[in-house]
Amino acid sequence: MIRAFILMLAACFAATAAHAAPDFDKLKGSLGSLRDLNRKADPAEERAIGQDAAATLLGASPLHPDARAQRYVNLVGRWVADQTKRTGLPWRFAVLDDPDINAYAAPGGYVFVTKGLLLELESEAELAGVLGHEITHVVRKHHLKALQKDQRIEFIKGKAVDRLADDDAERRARLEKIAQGAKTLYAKGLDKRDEFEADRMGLVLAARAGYEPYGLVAVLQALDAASPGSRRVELLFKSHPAPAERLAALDAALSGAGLDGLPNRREGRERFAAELAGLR
Amino acid sequence: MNIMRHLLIIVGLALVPPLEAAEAPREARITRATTVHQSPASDAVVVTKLVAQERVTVSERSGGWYRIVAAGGTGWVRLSGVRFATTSSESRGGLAAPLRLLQSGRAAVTTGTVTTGVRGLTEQELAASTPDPAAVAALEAHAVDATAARAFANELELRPTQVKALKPPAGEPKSDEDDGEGGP
Repeated sequence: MIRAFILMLAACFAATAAHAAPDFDKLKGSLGSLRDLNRKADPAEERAIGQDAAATLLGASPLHPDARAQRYVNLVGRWVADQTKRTGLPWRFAVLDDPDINAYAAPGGYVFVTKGLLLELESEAELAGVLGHEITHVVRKHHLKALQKDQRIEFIKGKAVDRLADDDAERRARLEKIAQGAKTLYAKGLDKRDEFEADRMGLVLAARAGYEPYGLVAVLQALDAASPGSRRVELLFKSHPAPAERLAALDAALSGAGLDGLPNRREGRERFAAELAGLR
Repeated sequence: MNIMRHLLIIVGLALVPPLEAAEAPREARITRATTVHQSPASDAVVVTKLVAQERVTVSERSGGWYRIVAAGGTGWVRLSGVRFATTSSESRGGLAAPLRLLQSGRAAVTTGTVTTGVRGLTEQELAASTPDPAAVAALEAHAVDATAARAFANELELRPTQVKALKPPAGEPKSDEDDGEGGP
């Protein structure tokens, strides 16, 4: 019985081989695209995707011209980012010349904060909490994964990292695809759990960096007290869980966390006010 | 003459910077049953207890604590269990990062002498964005390295500290929040 089956199989193979040699290139191609949707982006791809997402944000809002403020936000951000395990990322922080209240992260180490948000903050510790939240999105690859999963961005090795001439059609097509994905993602927001995780870790990163840990809580309380109808928080509120919900989640996570006994906490109110004086 | 003096006082009051108002106590409520302590520390004497939704007035912040006045007494409560009343005017005052300009609407936002445009990064702006790779390249001008960041931290005597990750809610997988999945 078994012998008969094997003979039959052998006959089938012989017939196939006689009919046409398998097209290995074609086979490899189709397997490749199946696999690519689940493949993790390597650091160069993550960076390239982040560059395209960052370019999309910067296409909607210009950079603020104040060089001192730009450098200050980079210094605070880099110090907080260096408390994570991804210190090797080429972290870039920037102030958007935008009156609305919001902050954004893009894969590979890009973090943006609006002038409108900076003007509402009162200390470097609060800024550290906000940047810590965005840094967490980068470290945990929240946007990268969302782009891959929901926007079906395929990470095809080599394609994303092509930095070819601007007239290269393939490069432009890819930028267009990532830009479309980024537009949708920044408008609708990440999964709620990603935001809660970014709140928890953002607060902890600020504390690890030596700041008074509750800056992010104070910022969320101020947002919670903001009029929900204000146009300046429209996109922030649309793309994030309500501040009250985020505060409740942080409150639960903070109970028994033992953050009170930390020595030598700094708020940095004076330095914050001096370095950002040009924005006012 | 008297009228002039009164006018001057009124004008003078109007010119008082909003910072003065920031010391004003703020209406708030407690989100969950909580203990009120004599000083801002969990091992400090408990003065009284508050139930959820109880109204309080917040007058001061110290680290993770707010000093409150409630019907049952005065003392310190953990800040994360407090919600401030929605602000109804521009001069909201308060300790927790006042959203000073929130009520003014986008058109009225001023920066120094210039009133900025009415366009913010709205959903519509985002949808209409033409990606700007040159602006991404311009970020390099302000980049800093770890050495510069450390020197900057030293100026404020910021000391890196071991702090445990906060636990996610029950049922959610505990993430190693630093993993970065093998990235640099």
